[in-house]
Amino acid sequence: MRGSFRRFTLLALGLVLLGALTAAVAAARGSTSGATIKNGGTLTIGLAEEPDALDPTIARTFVGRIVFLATCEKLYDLDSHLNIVPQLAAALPQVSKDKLTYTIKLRSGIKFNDGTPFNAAAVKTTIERYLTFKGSVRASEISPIKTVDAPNATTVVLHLSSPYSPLTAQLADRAGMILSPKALASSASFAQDPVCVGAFSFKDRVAGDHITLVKSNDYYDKAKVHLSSIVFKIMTDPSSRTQALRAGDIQVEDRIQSTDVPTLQKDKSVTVSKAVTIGYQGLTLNIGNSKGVGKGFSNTGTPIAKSQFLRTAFDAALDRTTINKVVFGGLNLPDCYPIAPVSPWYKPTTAGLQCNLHANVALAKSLVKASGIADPTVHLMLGGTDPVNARLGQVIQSMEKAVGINVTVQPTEFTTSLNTATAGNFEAYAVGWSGRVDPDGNIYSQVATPGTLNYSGYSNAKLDYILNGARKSVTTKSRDTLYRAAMKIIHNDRPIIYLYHPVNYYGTSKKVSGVQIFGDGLIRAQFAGYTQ
Amino acid sequence: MGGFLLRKAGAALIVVFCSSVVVFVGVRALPGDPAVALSGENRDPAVLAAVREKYGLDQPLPVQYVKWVGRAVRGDLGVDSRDLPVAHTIVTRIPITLELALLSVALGMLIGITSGVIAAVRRGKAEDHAATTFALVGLSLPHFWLGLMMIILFAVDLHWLPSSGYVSFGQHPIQNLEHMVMPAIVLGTGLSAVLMRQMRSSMLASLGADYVRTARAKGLTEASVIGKHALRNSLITVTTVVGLQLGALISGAVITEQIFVIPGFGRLTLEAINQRDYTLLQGVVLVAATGYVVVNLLVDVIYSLLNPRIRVTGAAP
Amino acid sequence: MSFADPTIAVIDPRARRRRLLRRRFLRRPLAVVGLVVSTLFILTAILAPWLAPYSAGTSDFTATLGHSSGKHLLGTDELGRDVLSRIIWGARASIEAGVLATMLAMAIAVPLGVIAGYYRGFVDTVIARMTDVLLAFPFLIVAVGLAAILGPSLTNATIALGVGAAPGLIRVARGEALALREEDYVRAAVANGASDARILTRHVLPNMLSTLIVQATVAIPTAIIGEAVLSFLGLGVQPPTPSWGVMLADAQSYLAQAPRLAVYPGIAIFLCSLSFNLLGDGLRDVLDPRTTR
Repeated sequence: MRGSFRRFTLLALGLVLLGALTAAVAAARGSTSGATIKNGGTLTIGLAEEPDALDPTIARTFVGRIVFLATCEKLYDLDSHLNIVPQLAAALPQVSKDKLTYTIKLRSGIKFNDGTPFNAAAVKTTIERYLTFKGSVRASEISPIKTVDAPNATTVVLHLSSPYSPLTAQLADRAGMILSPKALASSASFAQDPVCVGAFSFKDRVAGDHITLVKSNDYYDKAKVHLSSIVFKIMTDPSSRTQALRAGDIQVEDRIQSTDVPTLQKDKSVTVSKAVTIGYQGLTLNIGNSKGVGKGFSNTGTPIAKSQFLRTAFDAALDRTTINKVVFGGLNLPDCYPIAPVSPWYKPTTAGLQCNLHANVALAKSLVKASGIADPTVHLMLGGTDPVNARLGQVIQSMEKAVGINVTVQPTEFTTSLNTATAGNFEAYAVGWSGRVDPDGNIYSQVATPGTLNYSGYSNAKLDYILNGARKSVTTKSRDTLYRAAMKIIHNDRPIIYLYHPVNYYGTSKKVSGVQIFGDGLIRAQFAGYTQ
Repeated sequence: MGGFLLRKAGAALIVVFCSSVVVFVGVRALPGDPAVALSGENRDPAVLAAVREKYGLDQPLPVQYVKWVGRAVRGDLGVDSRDLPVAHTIVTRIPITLELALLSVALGMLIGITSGVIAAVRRGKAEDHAATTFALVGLSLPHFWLGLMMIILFAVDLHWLPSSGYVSFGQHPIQNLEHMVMPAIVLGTGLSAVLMRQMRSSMLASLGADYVRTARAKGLTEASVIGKHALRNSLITVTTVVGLQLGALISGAVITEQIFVIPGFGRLTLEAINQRDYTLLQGVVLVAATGYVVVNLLVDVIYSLLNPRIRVTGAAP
Repeated sequence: MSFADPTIAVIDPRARRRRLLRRRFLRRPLAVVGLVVSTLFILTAILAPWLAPYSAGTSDFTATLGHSSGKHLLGTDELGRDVLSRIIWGARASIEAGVLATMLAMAIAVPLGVIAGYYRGFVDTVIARMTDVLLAFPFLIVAVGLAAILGPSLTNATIALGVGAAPGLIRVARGEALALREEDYVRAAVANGASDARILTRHVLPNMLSTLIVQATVAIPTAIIGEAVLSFLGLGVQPPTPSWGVMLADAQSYLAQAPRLAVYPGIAIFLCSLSFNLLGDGLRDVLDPRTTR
């Protein structure tokens, strides 16, 4: 009896252990993504716009950053909570007490996709290129960097001319993408054959149609890379993009248009995921931009520029919730501020401020009267000729008519609208900003006096003082206070009426696993793969 | 023949030259500073200056024009705003539009000629009425609407055909044709309608003509009468019509490629204008104009081969 | 009615011809249908403010994408506007563009074509080459370019359409002038020492009239469809003014949810251009001396 009892206990114990082991294995599998990812295959991603030049020095497009994610890694990256984490660097930078020296330790044993070694010399070459290359768009993003040293192969030292807290965030974007010095030296146009450190390397590109990447043999983490190639298809028409996803021609769809989201959510072969972005969309009101950005400030004299009452009335007449419902099918996030709720900066900087998501028609009407302007008219320039912009324009027109403001709508092609806004030839401009992790990135360029994107021509010395202080200060607490004060001023004067934060919807075929999208809205597919 | 060809070629050359000037001036007439358009969001004066230098925008216009033409003749159309060679982009995307155009013209000719002949031969009867109605409908239908309706029916509802996109013939011939069916029908309908009416009227004229009556009197079979004599003369009409409809075909290709998202040359033109990509736009419109002139020249040559009277007298058609 | 008084029929040849043409026209039911329907469209365009139940921009945000109902006979669109009213108001853009563009094209083409055909020689060569250059640019590209330069609007779209239609009409006018030049009465006038202006205005142009009328009625539907294409691409009428092309563009995003929004404007464009085509065909048949009925 005793012997069999012992055997029974041993057996039971064995079974329990086996069960636990199986559960553990299953749990481990589940945490990586459900089913096993096979190796091989080509993932086709349908992009909503075409990337511009594939050279981080001069690149400006949002979708270009998606391509760079797979093929051009950076010193730092963002995690799913939008915290800055090291990628090619080994750790966050060590900042000196006077905030003027940043020491960055690099990882070792990494190669560029042409086999040459990644080291501090390459970082120095790249950053110097970003600062000095003729036409570099990155220069203004890292302008406080005076010199770069590479004392040894794994250490880079940046010397700044003045403190600049957004620097690390900039190094987590294009300004931190490190280029292969060999590739830079061998071709006059890096963009035609870009080489960096990346899970995939560039293979070919047909303008307006596609970009092909293939798995890199030199990548330091190539064991984690499953796909043999990624193809980015340029599909600017949102309806056909959705059709392509449903038909299986693409496996990932970038930014599903709001009218297709309900249809795709019902489609059993597709997973719809959403990313609340850190950007904003709003109406920029031209107050002082009469001669062009950077050419001085003088009130334009239009009704909307002269009267703060009218600007407030304009804001009060808009029902952000209805706009969201009618124009975007209720899928975006209505709001009144440039910083998005997903950002850790949102709560502390907007505490105590009031945001009205519904229209206050009575208030708007009385403010129009108080402005003293009879039959006010506002010309609204839209930043696109697509149907979504058209809807937005017409809804705004309708809402303003109800309070006595006449709005004329001018749909304008996007690039032209940027030119027109820069020249100051507009009254109101419906435009947005894709968003940066650091609050400075969503505010400074647009409303500070020297801001390069200050289409509004808004110049407020007090605001400038606060924003500059916030740039130089490095503690979160002091920056919170400063940005809250900045928000109050912007909210009062309304150079920009913020309407909503875009929520981007993405579709992924259920045959694919491992595609991630964080708050920055970029499609991360380097470690994805097919499960069927 | 030689003199005729030489004169036609000379005229074509003048047209190409004038077109290049029009393209150059037209692109420069687009509003806004091209340097600003090419620099995008960034307004840094250093960036703008660099862009101006790179694209030669700071030099006087005639110098810019001469430089551009000089390079264009050698096949170098510059680089676009993505730093990609324009010539390469054009060369990769033209064959796609050519395939669409060929399929549409083939379809248009097939339907147009056969229905036109049938309508003429069966004048006044049911077939004539049916064909004439079809042609009228084809002329009045906005073809881009036809495209949208076909997408709703065949792609969204029935899932028989893909709604948009393009697969190259080399990669997958069947899928390529699946993607091209609806666009070719959309583009070919207009042509077939015009062709049908022209064929019908020219065949009716020929069938009543003296030489045909003589043929019939000689005892030749009806088929032979239709086949050899009337048809041959009508082919001249067809050539003229296709030549005249070429412009409409190109415009139609632009909108068809837009609706069906085919990455061809027509769509490239729209993209270039929408993106204010001046270098690309210049190259694209120049190639389009030159191509049109060349094809017209070919049509004239074919026409003169078919109609010897033109060759001899050199009179304009 | 009947020609009771034969003397009238003999004395006034022009009235007789007009009566003959009218009779021949009325014998063609399709042409009559074309005339009636195209007139209806023109009247709809003119009388839109009185015919349309709602204004083109009245939005009801609580009733978007509604089906046909008592309040909205054809339903509502994505912004809650009455579809029927927008179709009625949209006729304005189409008729305006169609008719004005054709008139512009005629105004450019007829003088140039007649001068080229009548004088021939160097003038003819210059005009012919100019026409060739114009033809080398597809009308859509010219339209898009013009819209980009001048800004998108119905006026600029109409100009682009007119310029696009002109080269074809120049060729027609030139051909007519070339042929009429050899007519006996023209040669007689020249021999009599009549001035060029007199010959052109009294002999050449009036005899081209019938051909020109036919060409105009055929050019109008092309311009109507052209306006729809340009509006579809966002280059024509600007919101909130409706146009059938704009309605089609808006409907594209809602093809899966509400395909009817794409059907109605398309049918409107189709019927409108069909009616002008029928009218044009009828007129051509009637004015063609070769047809007997």
